Amino acid sequence: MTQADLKRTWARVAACCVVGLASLSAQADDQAERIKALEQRLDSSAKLIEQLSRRISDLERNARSVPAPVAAAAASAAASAPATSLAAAPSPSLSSLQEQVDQINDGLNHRGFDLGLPLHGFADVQAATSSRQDPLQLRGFNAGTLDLYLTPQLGDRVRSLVEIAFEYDPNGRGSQADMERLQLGYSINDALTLWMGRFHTPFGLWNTYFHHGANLQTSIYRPQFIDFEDRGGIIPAHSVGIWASGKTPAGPGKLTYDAYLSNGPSIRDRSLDFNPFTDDTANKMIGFNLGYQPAGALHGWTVGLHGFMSNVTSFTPADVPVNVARLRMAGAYAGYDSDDWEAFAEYYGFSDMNNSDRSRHRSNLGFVHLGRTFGSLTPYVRYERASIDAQDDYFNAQLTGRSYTRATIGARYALDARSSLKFEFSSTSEPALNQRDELGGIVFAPAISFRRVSVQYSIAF
Amino acid sequence: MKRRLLLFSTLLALPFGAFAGDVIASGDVTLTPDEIRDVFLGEKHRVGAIVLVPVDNSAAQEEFLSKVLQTNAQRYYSRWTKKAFREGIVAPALKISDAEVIAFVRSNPGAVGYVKRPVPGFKVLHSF
Repeated sequence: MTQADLKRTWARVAACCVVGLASLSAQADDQAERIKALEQRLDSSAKLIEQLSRRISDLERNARSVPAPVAAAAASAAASAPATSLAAAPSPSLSSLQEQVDQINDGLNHRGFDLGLPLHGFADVQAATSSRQDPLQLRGFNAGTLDLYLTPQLGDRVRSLVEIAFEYDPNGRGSQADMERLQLGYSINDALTLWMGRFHTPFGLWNTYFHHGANLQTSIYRPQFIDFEDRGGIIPAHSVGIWASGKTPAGPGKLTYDAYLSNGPSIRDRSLDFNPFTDDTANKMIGFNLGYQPAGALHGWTVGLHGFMSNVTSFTPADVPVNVARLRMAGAYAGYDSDDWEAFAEYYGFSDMNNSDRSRHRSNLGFVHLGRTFGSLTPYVRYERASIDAQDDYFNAQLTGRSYTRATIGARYALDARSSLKFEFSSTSEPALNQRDELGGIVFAPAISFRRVSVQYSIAF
Repeated sequence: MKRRLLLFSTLLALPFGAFAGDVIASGDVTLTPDEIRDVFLGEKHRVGAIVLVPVDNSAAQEEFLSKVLQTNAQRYYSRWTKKAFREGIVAPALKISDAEVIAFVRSNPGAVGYVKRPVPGFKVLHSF
C-alpha cells in the first residue's frame, strides 16, 4: 500500500510541477522558447519520476527479501515505538520507509481534537389527514422539522451541545428557527456533569430520549400532553437554567439522576411559555429525575421517579397577571429499550393549588407505549390518558389543558440504519369543559373526537 | 479411542476459542471486560483522573463488537446516534488499521483501542 501510494504521490507531484511550469511559461512572449523550456523541464520531470520508480522498486525488492513473519511483524507494529522489535537487522531502506510510515501515523494521530466539527441532525416530511374536529386540521403534505445538532468537544471536561430546529408554525403560516438546545457543561467525573443553558427538561424518559429526533422516535407523534409547548404540550418540555446530571454504580446496576433549577413557566396566549430569554417572575422551577438501570438479566430496563414544582402565572395579552397556580408534579416511569423491544410507561401526578382561593386540585396523566421489532419492521401501540381537574388554574388557562384519551397504532419500517418510513393511526376523545380565556373569563369548550392518519418519512444524518 | 476423541474435541474447540484480537490501552489504564464495554458504549469516561478516549479499528471491529460488546455495527452506531443526541458525547473515532490504532494509543494518554495482532510493548487489557 505504501509503495503504491508513494508512486501515486510522486506522480501527482510531478504532474503539479508540469502544470505549474506550464502556467508560468504561458506568460512568456516567445512561443518557441516557451515550448523548448517546457520540453526540457518535462524531460527532467520524467527523469525524476524514473529515478523514483527505480527507488521504489528497490525498496519493494528489499521488503520481499525480508522473511515473512518479520515482514508481518513490521507491518503490524509499523507505528509502535520500539522499532527495534521489527527485525534483528533491518535494511536501511526498509528502516527509512518504516520511519516515514511512523511519521505519517504520528502526524495523523496528533491531530488532537482539531478534526473539524461534525454536524448531525434529523429531518422528516409527512402526509396526513384527520377528521373534522382535529384542532390540527391535517389535510395533506407537510415539511416536518429539520433538526441540526452539534457536540463540540472542547477539552477533557468541557462539554457542549447545540441544537437548532427549523419548522413551520403550528398554524402553518410561517416558519421558525428555534434554538432548541444550547447547553454548556463541565464534567467533574462520571457521576457529575454540570450544565447551564437551554435543555430538554429531564422528566420521564420520552422527553429526553426522542424530542426532535424524528428518526429515533418509533411513533410519528409524541404523547399529546408532553408535546412541545407550541404544539399543545401542557408540561414544560424545555427549560433554561442549570442542571446537574450523572450516573454512578449502585448494586448490580447504575443509578442515574438529574436535578435542575430553571426559569419558571408562565401561561401566555393560552399556551405554556417556559421563558427562554428571562424569567418574568421570581418563581423558578425546581425538578428532579432519579432512575435505576439494572444489569444482568434486567439490562435495558430503566425505572425511576420524577417531579417538579413552581408557581405559574397566567398573563393577559397586555401582560397583566390573571392568576397564579402552585404547580406540583410527582410521578414515576419505567422503560425498556433493547434491540427488539421498546416499552415506555410514564405517570405524572399533579397536586396543584390555585392561589386565588387556596383550592387544591389533583390530576393524573400518563401513557403506555409498546413496540416490537421484527427485522426492519416495528409495529407499536400506545394509549394515553389525561384526567385533569378542570378547576385547576394551571390547566384551565391552557387551551389544550383538558382531559383526553388517545389510542395509537402504527408501524415503523427501517429503510436502512438512518432512514425510516412510518404509518400511524390515532383516535382521540376530549370531553366538554369550561376553560379560562386570555383575560381570565370562562369559555365553554365542547367535547370533540377525532381520528388522524399520518405517514412520515424521516432520516438521520 | 480416547486419543481420537480428544483430538476431535480439540479440533471442535479451535474455531470457538480462536484469538481475534487484543484490547490495548495507554499508560496506567486498567479496565475489566465490563468496563471496556462501558467505555465503548459511552457509559464510562474516566478512570480516576484519566480521561478515557476509546478508538475503533475497522480491521477488527466486527469481531470486537460481537465478542466484547455482543452487538453488531448497525446496532452499535444506532446506539451511538441516540447517545450523542441525548448526552452530547461523540462516538469513538474510527481508525482503519492496527498501525493507526497503535499510533493513536501510544500518543494519546487514556486511549483505549483494539488490534487484530498481538503487539509487544503494550498493556493488554483483554483478549477476545
